[in-house]
Amino acid sequence: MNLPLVYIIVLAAYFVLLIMIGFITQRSTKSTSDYHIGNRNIGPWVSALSFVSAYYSSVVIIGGGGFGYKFGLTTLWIAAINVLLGCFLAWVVLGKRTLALTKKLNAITLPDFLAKRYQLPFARVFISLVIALFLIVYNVSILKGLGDTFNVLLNIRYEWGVFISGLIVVIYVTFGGYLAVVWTGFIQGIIMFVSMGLLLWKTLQVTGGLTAGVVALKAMDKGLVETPGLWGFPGMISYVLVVSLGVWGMPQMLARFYSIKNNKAIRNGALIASVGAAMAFVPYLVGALARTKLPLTDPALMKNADLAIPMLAKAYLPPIVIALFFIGVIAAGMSTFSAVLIISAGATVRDLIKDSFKSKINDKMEIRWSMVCSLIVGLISMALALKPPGLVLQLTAFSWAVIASACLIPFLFGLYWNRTTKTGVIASMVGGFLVSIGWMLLQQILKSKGPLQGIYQYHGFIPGVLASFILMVVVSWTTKDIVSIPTMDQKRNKLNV
Amino acid sequence: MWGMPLLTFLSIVCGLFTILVAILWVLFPGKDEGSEGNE
Repeated sequence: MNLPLVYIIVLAAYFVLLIMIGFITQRSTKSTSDYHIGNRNIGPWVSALSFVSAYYSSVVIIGGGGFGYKFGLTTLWIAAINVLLGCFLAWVVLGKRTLALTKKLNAITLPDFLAKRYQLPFARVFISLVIALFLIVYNVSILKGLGDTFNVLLNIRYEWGVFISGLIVVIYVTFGGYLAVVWTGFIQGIIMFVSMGLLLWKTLQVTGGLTAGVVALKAMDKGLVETPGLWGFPGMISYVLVVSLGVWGMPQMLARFYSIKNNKAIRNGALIASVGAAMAFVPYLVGALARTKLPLTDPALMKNADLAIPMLAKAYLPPIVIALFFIGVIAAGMSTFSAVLIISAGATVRDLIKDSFKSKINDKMEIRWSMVCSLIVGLISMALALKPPGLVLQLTAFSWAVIASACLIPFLFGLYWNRTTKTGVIASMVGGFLVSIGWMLLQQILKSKGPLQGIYQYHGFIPGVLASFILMVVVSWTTKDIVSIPTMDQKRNKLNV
Repeated sequence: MWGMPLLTFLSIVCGLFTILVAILWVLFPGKDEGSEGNE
C-alpha cells in the first residue's frame, strides 16, 4: 500500500472518530454548564490528557524541533519547566482552590469567576473582550500551523489543510461542546504521546543512540550542547517563562480545573499530566539531533528551521512512523484549536452577550446560541487563517502574553489573597494588559532599528505580569474596597468547602 | 551523562524529579483531604 493511501485511511478513520465523539457527547449536553465545562464530573485521565493536548499545539512540536535545531540541547529546559511549572505546579497550586471556588461561586468561565469573586462586572466585560479578541488571533496561528503541516507532509495545498482540519474541529465543538473537547483532547493526547515516543525511538536509532548524537553535536559546536549555549539567558528565561508560567493565566487550560470531578482526581491528574507533558522533551531533543544529520547549509533549513523534524522524518524514518508522527502533529493542532474555540465562544455568548448586556435568554436558547457562536468564531478563524494578514501574525506572538498578563495575577490572587480590593484588581488587569502590549510594541519599534539589547530582549509577558503583580499589591494595600474570598476560614487561612 | 554538560543534563533530571514528586503527592495525600472536594 503506498504512503498517501496509508495517510488517507488513518486520517479518515481518525476524523470519523472525532465527529462521532461530537455527536455522542451532544446527548449528554443538557445545560449551558454542560456545554461550557461539561458536568463537573470529568475524571483524572481525561482531564489530564486533555490539559496536555490543549497545552501543546502543533506549533510546539514543529516549532520545538526548529528551536532544538537552531539552539541545541539547551532547549530541553523548555520541556523541563513545562513539566514542572506549566503542569505539575499549576495543578498543585491552582487545581483544588479553583475547583472549590468555582463550585461555590457557580462560575463556569474565567470572566465569570473574576466577576463573581471580586463582585466586579467590569472584570467580566474586560476579560471576555481580551479573551474573545486575542484567542481568535491565537486560533489563526494554530490553524496556520495545521495548514503548513498538511502542506509539508502530505503535499496538500495549505488552504485545504486549514479547511479540512478546521471544519472537523468546528463540527465537533459546535455539536458536542466542552465534553467533545475534553474527550477528543484525551484521544488526541494519547496519539501525540505515542507518536512522540515513536519519533524519539526511531531518531535515536538513526543517530546511533543518545550519547553518540550528543558527542556528534558537541564536535560540531560546543554551544549546541551547553546551557544556555547559543541561545543566551535573556531569550531562554523569558521564552521558558512565557510558555510555562503563561499557562497559569490561560483560560483554556484553567477550564480543566472547573470541570474535574474532585480533589482526588486533581492529585491523580497532576501525575498523569506531568508524565504526558514530558513528551515535550522529544521535539527539542529530536530537533537538536537532526542537526547531526541535516546540515545547516541546507537552503530550506537556513530559511526555515521549523522544517527540521519533517525533513528528518522524510529522509530517515520508516513510512509508518512518518504517518503516525503526522497524525500526532495534526492531533496536537486540532486539540488546541478546539480547546481555544470553546473558550472564545463562551466568552462571547455567555460573558458578553448574556451576562454583561443582561440579555434574557433561557438555558435551551443559550446552548443554541453557544453552538451558533462556536460555529461563527470557528469560521471567522478559518477565514482569517486562509490568508493570514500581517497584523494577525504579529498579534499571534502577543496573544499568550497579553491574555496571561491580564488574567494571571487577578486569578491567582483571587484564589489566595484575602486583602484584594476592587480597585487593585482593575489596576492589575488593565495595567498588566497595557504594559505587555506597550512593551511588545516598543520591541517592534526598536527591532526596526537593529537587534534588541539588554532588558529589551525579555518577552512582554515578564514586564506585563510584573506590572500586574505590583499594581495588585500596591493598589490593594492603599485602597479600602476589599473583597475577601467568599468561603475562606479567616483563622485557618483555609477554604471551607 | 550521555556526554552532556551538567547544566543541560539537569533539565532531564528536573523533568524526572517532578514526576517523582507527583507520584509521592498521589501516594501520600494531606491529612485534611478526606472530603475530596465533594460538597
